[in-house]
Amino acid sequence: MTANSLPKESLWRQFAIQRRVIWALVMRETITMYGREGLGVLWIIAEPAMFVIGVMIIFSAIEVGYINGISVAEYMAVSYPTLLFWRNGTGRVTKAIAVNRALLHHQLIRPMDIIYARIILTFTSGAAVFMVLYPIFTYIGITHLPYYWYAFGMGYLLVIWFSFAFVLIMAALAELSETIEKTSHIILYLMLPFSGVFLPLYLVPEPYRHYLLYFPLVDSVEYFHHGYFGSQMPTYYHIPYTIVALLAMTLFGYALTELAIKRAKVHGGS
Amino acid sequence: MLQVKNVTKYYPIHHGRSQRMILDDINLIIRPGEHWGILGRNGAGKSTLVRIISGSEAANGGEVLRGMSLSWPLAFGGAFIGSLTGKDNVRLISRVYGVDYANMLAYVEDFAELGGYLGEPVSIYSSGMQARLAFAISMAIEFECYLIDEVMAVGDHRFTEKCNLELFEKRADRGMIIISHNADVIREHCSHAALLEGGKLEIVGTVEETIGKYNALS
Repeated sequence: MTANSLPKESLWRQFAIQRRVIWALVMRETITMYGREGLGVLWIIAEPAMFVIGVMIIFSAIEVGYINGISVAEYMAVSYPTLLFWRNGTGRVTKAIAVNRALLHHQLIRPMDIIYARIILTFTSGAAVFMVLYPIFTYIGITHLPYYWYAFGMGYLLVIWFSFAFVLIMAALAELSETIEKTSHIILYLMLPFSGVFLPLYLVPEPYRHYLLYFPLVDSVEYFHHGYFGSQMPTYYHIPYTIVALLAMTLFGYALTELAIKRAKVHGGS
Repeated sequence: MLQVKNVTKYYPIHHGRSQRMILDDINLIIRPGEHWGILGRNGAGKSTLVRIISGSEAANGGEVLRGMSLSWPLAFGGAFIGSLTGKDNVRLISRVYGVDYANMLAYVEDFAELGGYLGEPVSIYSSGMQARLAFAISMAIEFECYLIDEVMAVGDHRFTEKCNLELFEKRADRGMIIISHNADVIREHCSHAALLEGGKLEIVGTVEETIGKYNALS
């Protein structure tokens, strides 16, 4: 049982070590978050599933439905789960390093690994609940199969990509500024109308529709809607712009995270 | 070789309006097999130095070059998650360091003598039991250099003997950094010593001379 010493290792070995460490952290977080009691790891799906189903029921009662006879339940079943990535992800990653800083005594664990582990865990949860609920809803007739599989899949991936960059930026800002840390849940809440979920763009008049398209999350969700609803619902998106914007967001997120980690490490505490 | 190079550390006080210097241009070289004792009174910055050497905290200036594999601070229980069981904690460490879980668990079971408690959450352990688990996990991974923060007052006399045998006899050929305010511990286990006082790390001479100077401080 010999520890692998770190320096002068090849890049490939570094990569293998990092993968191993992230996996170890994911497994640990799974147990700390969901435990072994009761449903145990099944909570990964059960908790967000309750949320999604609850939203479907409540909104069905208070809204009248969408264009071309799309029911509220159907719309929410497809669209609402995209929120899980950026919203739950931000909550989980904020303060992740401060909580886990004792782990940094281990040479092999780098702060970024802790962040990756939490992102992987929440995103897995978000994707798993959709992959379980959507086939069930389709089977019982609330939803149908997507019109355009490619746009459906790519739109979903774009939402995940947006969420990754967004989570990095929000978590880093929360580390850098106490004000942002305290107000982060407010930001997340106020973002809901601009999430592409609660206000599909066909309901938004120009010029506001045009403004909203500058926010890459809206484009991503609209493209995802296009894949699912096809011609049933008019959708608006600009994919090349979205990809460039997401690239910029990702680079900005990494730079900011780097800065936040450095600050967190100098700040110290046991 | 492990090298602490011009390490400087200060903490902001008065809401960042001024700074308190904790470590002022610290230099230290640990070659393979050397046992370094670092003596310092309470508040001299020993724990800060441990955190900077282990890498859990960054210095404001200077760097730590780790040319040997370095342990986490020995018998350090802070990395444990209370809601996890002893076994889950073993599993985490085995995965992080890439060692076989079954072997490591067998070793920890045998060494820590916790019996059925290993399957229970660490939060219900007594402090002695936590220390035993921490020490056993520390000994299950081999390092070229061990970082030891205040020598283990681990469990009862018999267990302390066992720890001494495991660490200072079986692993006498490794590098060690022992940080303590207890001169006897340093005298017993160290080949070199240094004194941490007023933010400076002073290398006086022999271990005995360092201890003499340390005792004269108070």
